[in-house]
Amino acid sequence: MATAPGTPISRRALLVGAGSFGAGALLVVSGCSYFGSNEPAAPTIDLAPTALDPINGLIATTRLHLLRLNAAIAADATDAPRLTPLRDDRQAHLTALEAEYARLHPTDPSATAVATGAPAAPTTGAVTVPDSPEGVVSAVRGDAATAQVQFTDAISAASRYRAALFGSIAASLASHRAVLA
Amino acid sequence: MTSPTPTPPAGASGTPSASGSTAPAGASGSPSPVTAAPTTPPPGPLTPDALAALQSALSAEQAAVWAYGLVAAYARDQAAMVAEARSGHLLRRDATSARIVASGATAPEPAAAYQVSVAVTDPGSALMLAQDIETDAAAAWRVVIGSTDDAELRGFALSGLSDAAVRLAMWKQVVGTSPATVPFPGQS
Repeated sequence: MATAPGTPISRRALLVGAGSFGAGALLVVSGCSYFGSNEPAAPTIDLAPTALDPINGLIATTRLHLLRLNAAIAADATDAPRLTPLRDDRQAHLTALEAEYARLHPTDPSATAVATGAPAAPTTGAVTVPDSPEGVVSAVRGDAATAQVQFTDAISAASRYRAALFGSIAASLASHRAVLA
Repeated sequence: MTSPTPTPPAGASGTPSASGSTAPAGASGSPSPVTAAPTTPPPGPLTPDALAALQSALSAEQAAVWAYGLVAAYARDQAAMVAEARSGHLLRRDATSARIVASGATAPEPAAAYQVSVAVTDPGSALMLAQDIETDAAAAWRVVIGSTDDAELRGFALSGLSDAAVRLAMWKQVVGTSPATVPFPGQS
């Protein structure tokens, strides 16, 4: 119902419009339907969602890099001996990060899986790796640099315990870059 | 690794000085430096926890500078690496000392000599000592990170921890130790 600017709106039109809007708003607010019971529906919108733990991003990055390292070791037999210790380090990082998450989120199902020793997510899977050995090593070194920056950034706002953990992991990643240089 | 002898000499070196004019020593010439030069952090008060940790880190750096002199006497084939490592610890020692003094506290003086855990008699034992030096430095800087809420000081400590971790890996590579890296440098 469009009206030209300045055109007076009739009282009837106003009531019809307001009634339509009111009915719609009532449905949205109460969650009732025309054919439902009088019981109000359970609210589905969480107005104050729990803040995500920033360690989740670090865990995700570490898990992804572990996947790539596993794929790189499988694809590049020449460099496998020097990549394997780095993979072991990254696995230790992932275990420590998941344990730290589980410590603060004991009721989280994924944290419970970590506490019982079950992997929260697979660390093997199909990922593409570069064709050449140089490309493989370069990709692993790039992942280490990316993760080092991420852990370094995470230090400033973390608790003291976490800051020491993140700093130690960042330093380990710096040494990974050095041995791959 | 190293412990100071009981009587530090009067007038020993180690007083604060300007630093940061050159890049810190990497563990070798090949890998790119991981951290920037250890510049003197801006002055500011330190909490008791942070001050104690920073003073311990300074003592570790002072011991590292002294101990690398011992390493240099035997590890002739790695003279360039030793010189770079010693230079890096020297710069960080001065920057750390300046940070402590700027906070209004007193920087500990270095000892005249230090007792080392490895009897250095040949190149092999000298390189063992080099690894101990970096292990101790990494541990000291990790404690600093976990002793403060100051993001700037954490960053300063992280550069010390990272440099020590890189040098430790380089020394392990030189002697053929595998694995050359550790998952949590500075953590015992």
